[in-house]
Amino acid sequence: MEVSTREAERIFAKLKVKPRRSTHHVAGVVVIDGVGRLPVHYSHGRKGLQGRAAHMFRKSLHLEPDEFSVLKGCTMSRDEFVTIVGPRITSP
Amino acid sequence: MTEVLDAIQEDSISNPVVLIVEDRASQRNTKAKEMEERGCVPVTVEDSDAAARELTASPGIDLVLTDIRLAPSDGDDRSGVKLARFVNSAYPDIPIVGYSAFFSADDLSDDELAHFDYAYNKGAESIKEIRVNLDKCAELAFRSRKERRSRAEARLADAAGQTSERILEIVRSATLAEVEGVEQVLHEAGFRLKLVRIPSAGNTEPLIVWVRGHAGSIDVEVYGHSNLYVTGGSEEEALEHLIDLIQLYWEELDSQKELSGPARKLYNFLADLKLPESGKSN
Repeated sequence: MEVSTREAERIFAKLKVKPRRSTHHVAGVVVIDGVGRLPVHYSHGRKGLQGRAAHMFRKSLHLEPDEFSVLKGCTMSRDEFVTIVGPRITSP
Repeated sequence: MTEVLDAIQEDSISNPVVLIVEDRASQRNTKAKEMEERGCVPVTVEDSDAAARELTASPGIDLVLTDIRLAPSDGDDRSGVKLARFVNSAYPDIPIVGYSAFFSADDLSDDELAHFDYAYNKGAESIKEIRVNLDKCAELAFRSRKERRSRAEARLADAAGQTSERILEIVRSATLAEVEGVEQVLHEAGFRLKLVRIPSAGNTEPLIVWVRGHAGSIDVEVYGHSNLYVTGGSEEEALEHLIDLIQLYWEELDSQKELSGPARKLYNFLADLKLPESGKSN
C-alpha cells in the first residue's frame, strides 16, 4: 500500500485536520464532537508514505484496509468516517 | 488477609493498580485507603466516563472496582453495569468487581451480573464480610497483575531474545493489549528493542523503541505508542525524526482544548516526558 503526500494532504483536508508542520513531519488531530481524538501524521517528501509508514498512517485512523481505500479514493465523507470510527474509539 | 492473598503478594514484584469508581468522595477515599492497606495502588474517579478515560490514558490498571449505582439522582441508575460491559469489551484482561448498597444481587439480572468477575451487596455486609470482599478484590488485582506480567515477559523474551531486566521492568507498565498489538507484529517483521533518551526531555526514563532496517531505510516506533513511528535513511536520522515528531505532537496536542481516547493517551505519555513548554503556537 502507498499513500502519496498529495493523498495524505487530501485526507487531512477531508477530515478537517488542521496541519501543524515541523522540519520533517505534518501532524494533526482528528476532532470529533469538539474533542481531539485521533493523532495522525505523515512525513514530508516527494516519495510519500510507503510500506509500513502507509500501514501505520491507516492504523492511526482506526480504519480497515478496505475502508482506508474508500477514504483515500475520495468517496468517504467525514461524516461517514465519524460513523465508522466513532464507536471504535469512544467510551461508554 | 487470606492465605491466598498473602502468597500472591509475597510473590509479586510490583503493586497492582486498582481503579476505584465511586460517586461519593468519602467512600472513594475509604476504598482507596483500604486497597492501599492491602498492597494495591488506588486510582480514584467518580463516574464511568472518567473511568473509561483513565483506562485509555493509563496503562497498567489491573482491576476495576466500581459502585453499580453511580448517579444516585437517577433511582434506577446502573452505570456500573454499563462500565462493566465497556471493560469486558475493550479490556477483556482487566477484571471488574461491582458493589452496591442500593441493589441486592436479586435486583440485578443474570445478564447484568455476568459482566462482573465478582459482585457484592455492601449494604448487607458485616465488618467481617467487608474485609472478606476487599480481600477478594485485592486478590483479584494481584492475580491480574501477575498473569499480565507473565504474559508480557514471555512475549518480550520471545521478541527481544536478550531482553534485559531493566526493559522488562519498564514494559510491565504497558497494557497487555499494547503488548499484543505491537510486539508480535513487529517482532515478526524483524524489529529489535532499543533504549533512547530524548535530549530535550526532563529527567525522565529513556524511551523503549523498536528499530528495524528495511529496504534501505530504518523504521523506528516507540514501544506501546504506535502513533510515534518514523522512518529515516539511517538509524541516526530516524531517531532525529522521532524527536522532531515527539516535539510536533506535544505542541499540537497541548494546543487542543479537550482530548480523549488515543489523543489523550499520547498526550499523557508526552507530558510524562517533561518536554519544554510548547508555547501553544499554532
